[in-house]
Amino acid sequence: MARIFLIARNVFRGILHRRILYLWIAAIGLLILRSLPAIFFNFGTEALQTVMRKRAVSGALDTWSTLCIALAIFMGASAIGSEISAKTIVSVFARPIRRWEFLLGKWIGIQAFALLSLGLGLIVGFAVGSYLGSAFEYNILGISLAQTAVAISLYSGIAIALSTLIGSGLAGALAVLLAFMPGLVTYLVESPNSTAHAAGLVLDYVVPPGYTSHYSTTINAPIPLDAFSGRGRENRRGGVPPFMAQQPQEPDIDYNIESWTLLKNAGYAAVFFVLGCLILTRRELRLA
Amino acid sequence: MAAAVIEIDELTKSYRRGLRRSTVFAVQKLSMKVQPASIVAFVGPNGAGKTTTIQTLLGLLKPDSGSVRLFGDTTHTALLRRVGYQPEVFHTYPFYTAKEVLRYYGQLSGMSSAELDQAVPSLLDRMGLVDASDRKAGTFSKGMTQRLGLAQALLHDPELLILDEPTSGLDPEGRRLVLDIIREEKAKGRTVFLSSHILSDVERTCDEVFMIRKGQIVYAEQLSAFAGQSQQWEVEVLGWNPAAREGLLPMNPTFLMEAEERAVLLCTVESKSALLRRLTELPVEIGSVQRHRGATLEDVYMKFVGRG
Repeated sequence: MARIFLIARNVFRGILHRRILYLWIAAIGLLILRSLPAIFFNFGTEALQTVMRKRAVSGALDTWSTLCIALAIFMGASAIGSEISAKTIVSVFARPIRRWEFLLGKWIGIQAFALLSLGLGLIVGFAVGSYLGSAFEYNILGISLAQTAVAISLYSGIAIALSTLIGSGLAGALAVLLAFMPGLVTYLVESPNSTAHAAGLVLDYVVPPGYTSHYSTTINAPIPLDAFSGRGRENRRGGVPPFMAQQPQEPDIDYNIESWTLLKNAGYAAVFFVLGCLILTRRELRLA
Repeated sequence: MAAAVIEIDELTKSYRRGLRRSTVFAVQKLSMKVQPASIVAFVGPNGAGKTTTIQTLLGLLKPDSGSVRLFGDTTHTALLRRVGYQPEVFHTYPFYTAKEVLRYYGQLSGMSSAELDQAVPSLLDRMGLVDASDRKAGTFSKGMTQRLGLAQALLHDPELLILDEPTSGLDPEGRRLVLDIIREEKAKGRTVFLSSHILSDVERTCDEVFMIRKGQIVYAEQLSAFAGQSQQWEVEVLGWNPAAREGLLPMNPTFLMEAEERAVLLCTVESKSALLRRLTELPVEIGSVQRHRGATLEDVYMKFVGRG
């Protein structure tokens, strides 16, 4: 166990050393740029201004969680490849460490970093949200965080597993592809074409349910119906645009389904990770 | 006799190469044994199969056929606690300081914090890296990196050291330091398996040499065999004739060269006086007497491994 945490700590140090950290800082900058206008610029009535501010916070949380998942995929995909290309893996595997321990340490380190990033984003979002007087829907926030955490495990696990077999770039690309597959699988399963339907059924077993974000509804901030009265183009068209006015005030989330999806994603993460361990254990490391 | 530390039996390892995936044999039916408390050199040109053999020993590669045993066992991971490996070029994490590098590898080898507190400073001192102990490994010169690589191999006090070109990239001082350390390890009863291109280092340090060419052992000998030859003497005889030959036959001499009017005889230190005395009695002239220059390791290398 000590070796696993040693590897995890090493991953953490490695990430802090790598330029990926600058990407992380750049992402924070982008988020600030994305959110600040909504918070400080005047959009019209005071009521609309308040709503836009609150929505900026929930939107930032949504984007940040997606960035954390992307970060986890990126780090997972390069977990083995970077060690092989730098040839640091030789001196590690010349030690009495099992390959699954090495891979698990890597996975834990990557997840820890991604979750820490998520946590920091949450703290900042929470602080800004509180400052703006936003009332968080804690149930939705809870399930959203759980979804993100499991998605980080799932997609970093998939990326790590793939990186034991193929190069970092391809592993990352396939992991991202898998993240976008659930929609396609649903489409294929529901297809009237028998071949597409069959392909959909097969893919349904391979492709995990994936990630659904509910952050946009973590702060209950419906657009007031009279938000645009008295000014703007929308007023000339007859008030609030329909897509904004129809925002549900009480989002419809089935927590049983969400919990089941979480479990399935976690199961897929474990399966992919075990497969990665098996592949790495059997793999030869031929380094010139 | 103690069990061999390394026992390779009929090891064959091949790769597939190129678009046509043609098979290339890196190692073919290679067999060797390394006895405990010895320094064994593994010598051969680039691409001969040395690194493949070493990587198979470490479990990084799997044999196509044949077997590899360390300390009489084929199970690898746990056995690696007893092995220290220095790769030809030591690649480590550039963000760690020298001290942290050693602590990291030591912990991977199962060393406790207390053991590391004791071993790391003394090893850095032994390697002449004390002043650089808090410097990032990424800023090290090639020679310093090599010494750090040897330090991590020695750290957990392994019974078997596998060193791949340990002196490459080192200045004369660093080279001497490494060779001294290798000899010290042997004196402590450790076994050293040394892959090297530098034959003078091998001659000065090793007990036994295995020469590999195209994946096969082409020569194996105790280095003492070379030292023994240098104790012999060459006697050049001028005016060589059949009568002289007849007169020397009872002494059963070894002829290095025999031609018309000239012969070169080989004798030991013990028989030299008797041979010279006998020659003075014969109708010949003694041309010269000199220490026999036995075949050097380089001569043997060129003969068995060298191109052509």
